[in-house]
Amino acid sequence: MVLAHVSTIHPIYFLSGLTLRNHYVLMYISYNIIIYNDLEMADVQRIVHVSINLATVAFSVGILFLGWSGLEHPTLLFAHPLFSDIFSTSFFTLNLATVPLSSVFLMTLGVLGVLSAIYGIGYGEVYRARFEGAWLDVGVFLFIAAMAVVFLAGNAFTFLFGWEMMSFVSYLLVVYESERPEVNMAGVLYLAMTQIGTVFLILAFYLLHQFTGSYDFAVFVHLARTLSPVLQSVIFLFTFVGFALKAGIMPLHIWLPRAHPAAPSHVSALMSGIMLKTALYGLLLVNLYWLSPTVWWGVLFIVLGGSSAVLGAFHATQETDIKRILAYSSIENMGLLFMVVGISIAAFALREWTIAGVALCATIYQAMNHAAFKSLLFHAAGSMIHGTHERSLNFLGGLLRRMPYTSIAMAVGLLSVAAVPPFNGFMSEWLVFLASADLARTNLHNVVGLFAAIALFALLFTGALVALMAARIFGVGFQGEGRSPGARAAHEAPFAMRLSLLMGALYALLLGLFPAFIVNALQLTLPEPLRFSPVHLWYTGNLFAISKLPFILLFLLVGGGFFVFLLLRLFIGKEQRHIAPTWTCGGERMAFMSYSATGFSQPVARTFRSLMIPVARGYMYRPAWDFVLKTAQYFRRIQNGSVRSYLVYLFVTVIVLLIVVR
Amino acid sequence: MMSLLQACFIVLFAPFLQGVIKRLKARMQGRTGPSIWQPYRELRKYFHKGAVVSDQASIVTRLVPYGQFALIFSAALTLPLFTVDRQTLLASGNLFLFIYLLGFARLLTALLGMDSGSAFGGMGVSRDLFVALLVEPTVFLAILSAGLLSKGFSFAGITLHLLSHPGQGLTLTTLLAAAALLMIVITETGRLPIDNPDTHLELTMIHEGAILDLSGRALGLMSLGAWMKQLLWISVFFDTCLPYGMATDTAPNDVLYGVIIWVGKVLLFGVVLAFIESVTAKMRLFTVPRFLTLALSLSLFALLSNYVGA
Repeated sequence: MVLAHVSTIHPIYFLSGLTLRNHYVLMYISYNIIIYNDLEMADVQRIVHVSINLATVAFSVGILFLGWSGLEHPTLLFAHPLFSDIFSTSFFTLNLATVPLSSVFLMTLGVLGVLSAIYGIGYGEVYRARFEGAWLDVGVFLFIAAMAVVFLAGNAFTFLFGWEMMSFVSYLLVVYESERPEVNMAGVLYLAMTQIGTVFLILAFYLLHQFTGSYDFAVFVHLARTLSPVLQSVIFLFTFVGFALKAGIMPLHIWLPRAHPAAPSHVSALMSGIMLKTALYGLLLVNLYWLSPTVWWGVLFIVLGGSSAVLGAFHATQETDIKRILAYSSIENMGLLFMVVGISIAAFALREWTIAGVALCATIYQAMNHAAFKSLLFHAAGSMIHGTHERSLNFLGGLLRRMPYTSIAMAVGLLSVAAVPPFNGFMSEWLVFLASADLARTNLHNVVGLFAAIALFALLFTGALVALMAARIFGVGFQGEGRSPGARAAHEAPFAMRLSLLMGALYALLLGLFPAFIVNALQLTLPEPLRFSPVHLWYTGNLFAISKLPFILLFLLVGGGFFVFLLLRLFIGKEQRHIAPTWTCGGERMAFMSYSATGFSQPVARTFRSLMIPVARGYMYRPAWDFVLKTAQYFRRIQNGSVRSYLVYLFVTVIVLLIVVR
Repeated sequence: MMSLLQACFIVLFAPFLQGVIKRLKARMQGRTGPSIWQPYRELRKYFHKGAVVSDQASIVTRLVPYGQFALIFSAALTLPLFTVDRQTLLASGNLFLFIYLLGFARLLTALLGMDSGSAFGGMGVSRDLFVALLVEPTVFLAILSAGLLSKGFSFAGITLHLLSHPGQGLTLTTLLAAAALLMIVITETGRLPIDNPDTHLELTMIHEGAILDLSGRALGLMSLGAWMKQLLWISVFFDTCLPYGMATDTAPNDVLYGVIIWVGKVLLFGVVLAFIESVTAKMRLFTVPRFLTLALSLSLFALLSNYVGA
């Protein structure tokens, strides 16, 4: 039994030496338990699986509290030079610290970690029969730890270490179901793209080091603003490319709609919910906290972010695979976030401090919200797949009656993503609206104002597309009648998954109900000049400030509806209802009669088909790929297979090096 | 307080406007037409009748009619109708709030339409959301460009600004925005040439499709909601482009005067709607985007005129 374990070679085995050793420890423990307690192997696996996930929960709670304390008191947790006996450079210093900005992201990571680990307890059951589920759990734990390192990093080395660790572990998690052929392809593409991004990040950090003489983020904060504007722009471009790749901003997004659906659902939730935010965190850090931005950076952000938002939302209305829809929706949300960062940067450059502050606040708030509802949506999607074994909306249907908890979670998530009041998405988009509209208003007769107005247009167009997406997922997937045997025999998720779904839904709702509290807390994270008094924000003089707005809306919605119900009930009496089959023009009813997901979005596809042209593939990736192949052809000429000529190459190289170096 | 009164007024007045338009339309087409009180009678009938509910229907069908009504009522609270009250009930960036409240109502209606699993519901919902894709940004841009000169983005702010600077109503920006808004109001009220409110023909219906499976109270509430929405959009048009005659305080005399002017304006708009309905033919669904992109371009030009013009 034990041997069978070890002999199964799986990518997760390559995690690192550390985990490999863990594995043996794990095996040893389980072996002993078997001997002494007479337990079945399955039970042992189950115990290991649950305990690793519980450890992840505990770890995430720790991160949550770390973030909580770091919000008000930035602390240096750890600083220690590594390999100081081998290298004389100060580069290899492990430096972990919290700053207010990273604290917010850490708290989000903590919450999501708890939710995903609890979810994983239930979800891992599926995998336990096929591989060792424990490896998935260890992977998730390492993934969360790596992201925590990224957020805690206090210098370039720690950041890059965490970043690479995060990319690599997430790659292994993406290819976890490697018996599906498309998964391997998605994994390779993801790994390749993310490495290209890292190259740009290393270049940016190299430049920062060259001109400030340090690797410490604390030094960058003080010195980076003094660099020449051209140099700052170059650094900006490098970080922009590097982070936009990770964030899945079009046209650098091609890995995202493949990788996110390929991973197990709670990993997708973590990837979409918080891994994409590491890119946002990096961008905010570099552009708003270190460098002093110029207007065109903001414009670049607005243009690329806005087009990503619209295109991502459009594709989200066209896909039928539930997880691909959500992946495209993540691209859309990252686009929105980039757009708001653009507003903030443009306002910063124009010295409109309040607007920049509101926009930055909106960015972070929206990022928190997106993390909350996107992880909830991925969890719900995972539970749909778990309960029906169907991924395509066209073969789902009628889940509202068979999976009530999943439906509630999905409904909350979809209403949040559609940003309807008083859900959390609405509150942050309101801030986006306020900031953009103010920038548009204060810059009349200035082109920047026009870009802010265009951002608003993108916001609204995206909003309408997302509403269509939400109605499509819920209407086709959860209402009506099941379109496949799987959907008709759907069963509700196990307890741990249900618990996680309900907690996630509650978290999303809470984020929407206390906007004023959150905005006040987020004030702490803003750079000094951007702090604004909320007086500017809520246009006081109103009877009701925004802190009460969600409750008023909730009261109007629930209370108003109930009032009408009571009124009708009291004055007219109880309604007589009787059940009858849906009218089908006299024919026999079939599940496929109701609108399918493809049919639902067909008018959109037909009208906006120009948005479907694969611009990125046709004009970027295809030529780039051709170029690589062609260059390789040239290089093949010198690779003639003869040892003698290789020796000549070596010889020439050495001589050239000697001349150059000397 | 005033906004609550105005919202209640919307509830009570909306069926009347519907009746007037129907009657006028019938007259223009040479028919006698139903009485202008017919919508009230219909509501009475719906509310008293029992309901037939589909066996596929879920909790959505039971809750949504009430929720949708409450949302449209909340949206009505954000609008000034016959008096501009600075202290509107909902916070003052309310242009955004208004559009999203109605968007929520639309989303709920969509879920309601899908609930019985009927093909007609899906069709109506799909079309409704499809049309909304172009409507929402357009209406937003139009109001935004008209309101860029006023402080804050509330209807109250825009209206007050126009009332205190009447000349602003004749600028290129406002005129372009007004033209775009007019087209949107026609679309949003579900009228010809976009949608035909008088038909149950599956090839043409949009809004009717979504509520085809309803009966009884649910149908009554949904119909009332649709009529209220129609009145709301007309009021939006007047608030952003022609607020003249509106009271700026809550003195009873001024308010009364404001009510009379407002009712007059709305009825006049009803005449225009009836006229347009009588002389145009229904568009095919896929020509609707052309109509709407025209409105969109108008509102884009309205926006541009803020940045390019003098």
